[in-house]
Amino acid sequence: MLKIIDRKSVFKILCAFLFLVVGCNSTDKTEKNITFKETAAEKQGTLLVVANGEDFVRNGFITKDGWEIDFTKLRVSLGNVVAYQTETSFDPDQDQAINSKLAIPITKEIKVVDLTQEIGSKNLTPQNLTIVKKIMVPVGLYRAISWEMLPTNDFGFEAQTIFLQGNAMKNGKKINFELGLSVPTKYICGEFIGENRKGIVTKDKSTELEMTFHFDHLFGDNNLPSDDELNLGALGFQPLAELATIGNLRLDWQELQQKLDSADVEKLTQAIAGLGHVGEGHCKAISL
Amino acid sequence: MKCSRVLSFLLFTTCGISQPVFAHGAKIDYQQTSAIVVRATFDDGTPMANAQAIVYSPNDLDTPWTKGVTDESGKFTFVPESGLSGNWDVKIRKSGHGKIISIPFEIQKQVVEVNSPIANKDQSLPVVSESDPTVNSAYSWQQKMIMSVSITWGFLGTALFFFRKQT
Repeated sequence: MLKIIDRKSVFKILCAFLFLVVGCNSTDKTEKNITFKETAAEKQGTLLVVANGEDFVRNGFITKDGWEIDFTKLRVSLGNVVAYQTETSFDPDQDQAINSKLAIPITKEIKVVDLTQEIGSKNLTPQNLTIVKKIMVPVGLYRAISWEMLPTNDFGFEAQTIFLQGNAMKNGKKINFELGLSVPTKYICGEFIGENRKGIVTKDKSTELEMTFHFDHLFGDNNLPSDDELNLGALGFQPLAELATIGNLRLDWQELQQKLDSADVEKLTQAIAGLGHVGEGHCKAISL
Repeated sequence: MKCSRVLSFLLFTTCGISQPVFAHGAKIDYQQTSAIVVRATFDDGTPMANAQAIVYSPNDLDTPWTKGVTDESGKFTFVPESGLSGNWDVKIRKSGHGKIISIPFEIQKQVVEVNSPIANKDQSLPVVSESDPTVNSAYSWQQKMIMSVSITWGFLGTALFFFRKQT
């Protein structure tokens, strides 16, 4: 018997067994990949990517320094919007990067959206949120989103990322303003925070994924105490009002940087970094 | 509105055991449960007291599994449903600020031996951070290969021992 099962034979048997084990594992991987492709192709749902300027933009508000603001246009230039599926929640304050299992590019090219569209516009959802894009995506929970605000020439100014048009009133004084801001920024955000959950794509029901813009961070909120952190960090409107000529104010970012004092420019820049939210959830802002 | 404040979460797990108490004409049983305690604060350390807490279970991401309110220290406690392992998402929000956290939760099947007609129902009790072999049994292929070779070599070695050359 020992002649039959000598050392060489034992070695050959072991080698054959090793190949068998490795071969079996390779087969498993292939099967998993096929399963994933079939799932991605068959199970898709509608994702409605929306931008929300909130009531501050839609209905107007009173700034921290008492100016009553009413926007007629508030346009932002969006690019490189990406929706992410992750296993667990993404915390922009703690996590370095989004550990996604699926990343869906929503818009690569620049898309300009107006956050002050009139009710009834076809570009609005029933909740009056501005539609950025409607897209079919694999089902699942989209827990994170990132987007960039990139310069565009579409605002009547050259290379601006935000365009604000409207009027401001205080003590009977009215100022018509058109302002261009250009602070290219990337916002990296986690899941939408609000009463309801958003971003859950199912086969039969469309869902929203929201980019929220908190413009009270720029101008402050008269309903809050003056020493509230939001108001302490906001520019307000008075420094801008002082630049108006005969009730008119039309300046782009380059002109604002020259005419505002440096502390106000810095305050405005920081406020723009804090502009991007997902509902009540904060985002990480990276200057581009 | 505390605009630049960032919420932070501290996660605790507790394993509460109510001790049996003996009294005349009464029976009290105890049930061992594992609770998850979430504590939410603003980034300056201020507790998010009386904040809304919403919990989503792993098998229903859309519908809140439970809702509640944090206490004065910003803590919210809940006991995950027995048998539901996976990520439990907890959302805490207050005054226009909020955050959501995913809490991994695994089940360990236990039977509590208690001399009581009520307890000892052979139910699975949730225990956090302890792995269940039936849940977490994914070995890597390298581990599987080493185990297979070891087992095979054991058989071969035994066979060779019995068929060794007699001197």
